[in-house]
Amino acid sequence: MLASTISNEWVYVGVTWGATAAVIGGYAAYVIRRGRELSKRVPSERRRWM
Amino acid sequence: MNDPRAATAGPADTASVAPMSTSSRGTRLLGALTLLSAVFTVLYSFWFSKADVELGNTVRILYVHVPTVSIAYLCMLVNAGCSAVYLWKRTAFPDLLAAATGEIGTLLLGLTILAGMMWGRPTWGTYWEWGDPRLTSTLLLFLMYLGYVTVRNIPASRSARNTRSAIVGIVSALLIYPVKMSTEWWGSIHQGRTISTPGASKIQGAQEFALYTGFLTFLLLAAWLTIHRFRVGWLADEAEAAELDAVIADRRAESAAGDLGSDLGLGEAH
Repeated sequence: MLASTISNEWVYVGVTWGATAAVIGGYAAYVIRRGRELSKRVPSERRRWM
Repeated sequence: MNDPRAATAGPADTASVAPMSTSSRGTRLLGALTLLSAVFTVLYSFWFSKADVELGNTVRILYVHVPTVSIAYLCMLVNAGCSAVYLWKRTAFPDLLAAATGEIGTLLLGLTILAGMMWGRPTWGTYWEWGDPRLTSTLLLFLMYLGYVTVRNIPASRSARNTRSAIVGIVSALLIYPVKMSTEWWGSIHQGRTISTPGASKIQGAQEFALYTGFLTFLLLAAWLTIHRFRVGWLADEAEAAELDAVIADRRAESAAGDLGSDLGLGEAH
């Protein structure tokens, strides 16, 4: 079975790595953007843990 | 505040120099280390590690699959621990840390399932096998943590939201051990441990090293994301509280103005 699917292996490898990079990159971008939006709404004296 | 200018600024200048994001010197350093580690992981996964004798190039999927599930479990255990501390102490820090690790653990477990499906198709001939205990129990665990994230986002008072999500987090974590042991307890098409004691692992050499760099990368990544997500959670709660304070102050000002108007006989001219 492996021999017959050897040519398709890279597709599965590519989907795995590509989806992982896209999902994590997208989530990181969302968190950073949300942090910037919220920072504008919170007075500086309330920004502990920054 | 991490900005050194903030220490010398007067009250009027504080808002302008306070950090306007969740970044700090520490997160930037951690982010740089994560990227460096990611570069090593990619190099070892695609360049130094050769195709496996049995698995072929699909072994490169394992360099994502195994680290993501391990770090997802770690996030979920931290989530459960922080949830328990929250129920005991009722303070914001463990609650926000639980929220951050719960969300990131869910994300990583979702990626684990996707990578497993991509590995299963060329190896087992199927993306999914419903009768398999490891696959099914992992999906159940994922759904429980999706439930955690959902409960976290249901509109409620802060205390009710934190308490409900802490209970869901602790209950969900009880499933981690059965999921991990499912291949030994019930039998499974899924293989057992990939990494075990030195010299006895199923993969060795550059393959094993690629896996270790993957562990480090996803650990650093989870830490970096957790700090940012924690700060976002803190800011969201503080923004809500600040806006509520502003509304209350407005109402008090309106009420005081009304009282003053009454005292002066204004608004009673009819």
